[in-house]
Amino acid sequence: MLRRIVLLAATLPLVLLSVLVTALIAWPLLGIVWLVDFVWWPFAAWRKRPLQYQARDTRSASIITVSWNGKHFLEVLLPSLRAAVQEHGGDHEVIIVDNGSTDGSVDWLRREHPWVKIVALPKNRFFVRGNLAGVQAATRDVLLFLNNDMEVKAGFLKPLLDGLRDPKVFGVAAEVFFRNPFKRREETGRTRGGIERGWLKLRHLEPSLDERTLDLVPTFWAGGGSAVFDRRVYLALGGFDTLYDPFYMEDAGLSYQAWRRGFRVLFTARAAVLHEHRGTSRKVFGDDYIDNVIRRNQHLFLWRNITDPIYTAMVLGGLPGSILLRAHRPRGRYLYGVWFEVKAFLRALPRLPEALRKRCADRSSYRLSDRQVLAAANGIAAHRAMCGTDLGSLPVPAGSRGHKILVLSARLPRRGHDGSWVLFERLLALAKTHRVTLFAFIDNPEEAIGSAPLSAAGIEVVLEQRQRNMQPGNLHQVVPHRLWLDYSAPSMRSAVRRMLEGTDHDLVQVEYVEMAHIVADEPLVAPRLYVCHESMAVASERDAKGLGGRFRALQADRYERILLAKFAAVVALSDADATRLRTQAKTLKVEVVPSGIEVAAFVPSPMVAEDPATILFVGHYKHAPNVDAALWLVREILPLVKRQVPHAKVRLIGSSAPAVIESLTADGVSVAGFIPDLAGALAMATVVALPLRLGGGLRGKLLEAWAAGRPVVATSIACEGYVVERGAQLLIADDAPSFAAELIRCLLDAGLRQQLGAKGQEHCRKYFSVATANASFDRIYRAMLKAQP
Amino acid sequence: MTQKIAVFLTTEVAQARLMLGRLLDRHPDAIVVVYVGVDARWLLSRDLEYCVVRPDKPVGGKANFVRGLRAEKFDLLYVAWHGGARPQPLRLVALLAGAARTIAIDEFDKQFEVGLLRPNTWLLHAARRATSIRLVGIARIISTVYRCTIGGAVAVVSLAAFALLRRPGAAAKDRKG
Repeated sequence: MLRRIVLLAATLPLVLLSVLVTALIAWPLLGIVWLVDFVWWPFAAWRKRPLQYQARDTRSASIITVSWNGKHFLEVLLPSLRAAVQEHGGDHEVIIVDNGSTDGSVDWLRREHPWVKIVALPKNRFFVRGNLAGVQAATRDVLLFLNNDMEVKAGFLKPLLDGLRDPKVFGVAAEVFFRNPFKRREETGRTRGGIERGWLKLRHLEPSLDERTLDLVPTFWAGGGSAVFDRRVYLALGGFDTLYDPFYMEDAGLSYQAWRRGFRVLFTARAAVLHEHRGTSRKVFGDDYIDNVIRRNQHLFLWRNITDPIYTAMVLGGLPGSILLRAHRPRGRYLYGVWFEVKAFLRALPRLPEALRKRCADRSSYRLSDRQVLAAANGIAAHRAMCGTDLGSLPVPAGSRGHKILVLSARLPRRGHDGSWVLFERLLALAKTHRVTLFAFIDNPEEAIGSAPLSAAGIEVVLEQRQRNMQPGNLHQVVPHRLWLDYSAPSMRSAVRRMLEGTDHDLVQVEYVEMAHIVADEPLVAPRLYVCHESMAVASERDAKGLGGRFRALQADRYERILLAKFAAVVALSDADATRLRTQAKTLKVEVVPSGIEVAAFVPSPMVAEDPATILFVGHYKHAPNVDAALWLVREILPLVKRQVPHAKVRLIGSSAPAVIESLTADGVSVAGFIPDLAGALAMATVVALPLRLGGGLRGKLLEAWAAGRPVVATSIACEGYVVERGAQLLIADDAPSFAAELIRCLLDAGLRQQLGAKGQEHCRKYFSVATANASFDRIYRAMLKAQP
Repeated sequence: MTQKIAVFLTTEVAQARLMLGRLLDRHPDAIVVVYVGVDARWLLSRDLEYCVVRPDKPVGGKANFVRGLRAEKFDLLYVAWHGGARPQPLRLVALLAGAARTIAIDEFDKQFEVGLLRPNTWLLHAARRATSIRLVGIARIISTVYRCTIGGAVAVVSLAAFALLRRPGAAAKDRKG
């Protein structure tokens, strides 16, 4: 313990000193960069000379591999490459740049592979300069760079070369697999980049289904060891930049320069290579040195390429803070982490003049801003909207009448568990005409099995486990605490971002306010439809008790207004919610589409008999209004009913019952938990009670009771949004004595029960079919897509 | 007289099981009330057979929860100061629970009596554990304190302004329109 305390006491001053040193250098540096940008800006604007798009011959390529003492790698690569070249049939040339190997590579190449062109360098010039030597020897329009520790798969060349047919495309990357299939895929070829928390975040992504299905998709950078490039543009851009010498980040820098000049960099999953990841460099230089060079080159990348003043301020101004965030290392080696970061920064400084010179020189050629590049290079839908590149197409069930819809739901829609069955039914019908991708959060992995029926209907289902948000923030309580705590974890946000970027969609449909909250911060690319299952303002106002409740209600109202501004259209399930939403966002298009239900699914088996004097309540108890309703029913209404019907009993059905509900179990009250056969349970009930006093939206439990042909006694809030005739389809009562009186009337009068059940079922068939609901959604989709520029 | 013992368990099931088993052996006739999370409850269902089990989540506000604990007047309270993967506010609540004796058990299985007004009983433990808190943990504590004080005051003022500026008649007018 003493050791740890001493260590802490020693660490703190050193960390503070490091931060101080970084700040003293980085902040004046920010001033210099801003000044240089400001002074150079008129020259850059005056001397605008963007690169022209030109056609190139994609029938053949110069294939360049740099090798240093890599004979054992070439023994694997060259036979597979020769097979690929012969299979494609083009007039390709293979150039091996030998970086002064001492393992006899050159002699071996001359003897075993005379078909290969050899560029033998006297000493090791490393990756960047080695590749430049290879390019000087190349004669074809297309350059294909391959690492020596690769093995190409059959059919490798054609998709890469086909991708370069469009003159606007600069590079195409192949998918990378590790030779060891059990190794985590740190490298895939599909890359993403962004400025997050004041730093450059680059990573490889596991390609999504859409990314695998499409011919081509955008990628932030094409890896310098498994991609093709246009030679003319490559040379015009200066090739792999010696700023990053000896290795790493040169491919990202080259691709970013191409993006900024209006060229596209794409990825195809149709071409694949096997890679012995970091087979050469890590063994020679060691992990620590390589990682530090990568970090140094990230500094250089940012200084050379990122010209957006806000991003520049975030990166350089926030550098003292961002090194503290990045310094975290396992096993408490924090001080080492800080030193690692400071060392990388200091190592980058001598190259600052070169970075700034290139930053100024290239600005006159840029067509796209940093923000445009980050959007177009990371997301398919954004790329389509901004660049219009032909990426291929995805199959849609109804052909041209159907759309590609990305549905983002805060919970996995399932039958019989909670109110999400409404969405479940809608999705099943939707998938018949549209290509639907569903993303949903689950609370535990066992829930995932509930997605099977949706997958069977042709819906691609992607699930992510919900995490608690452990990050600091929400300092001024703008976001309601529940949303901040349960739906703001970085992992959840990045999963949603990945869906928005990794799917090819025409429209995004956001279900539930929790998901609207997560999506709100993401850049708007395709039109967004928000399906409001329950107005947060209405629900919290109904639950507003005391000052705290009033505070929460105002907070919910204000935050809901902020959220609504992010959507093109909103669908409310009830008129009450729609009216409230319209007052919150006056220019917003709000439509009411009541939920639909398949009545046939609720027709009970003739074997099921009614259980006498049974009052049934169904609810998912994670929803607070259901807990309140169950407590009110058992504690206040049931005793009144029992005065006249002593054998009356209440049955509470539903999952996630808290202890307070479980404790209600007593004589005449049973808590059944989740029941898979809800139709059967409804058929056994004498009457269905809906004593809801809180919440909003359209109650699906009323539809379920009607579909099963059961008599219903409900509060006005429970049947909100339904056009009903009091006493015809259901009985309505809002206080305990009258609610009990209506229940007693129902329990004692079989004729009344039959009449209510039959009329409710008829009402359900007439106005609440799934087909009607989906026709309304189709109309809304069409209107939204038509309104798109 | 039968002793009434409260136990605040850790989320680490193996440690919780060990602690509970030892406690039941030591106090076979006591009424043992165990406060445990829902996740761990079914994993420990066998071990909890002879205990009164209560949820560790406060229902009806945190203040009410503490008030309820104090009203129980426990003779003895065992609290696991083991660590575990998640933050456990009950570790601190133990100091407020008003039990006649409160015994904490640390990650080295060392037991020591603690009291809120006797900082010497828990300060050393706190100092040692503070060295293992991650930067984000410290940031979260600062952020929570700010949110509940200055941030809360800013929120009240801004929401009051929002309530005043929100036109009360807007809804009715829109419906007519």
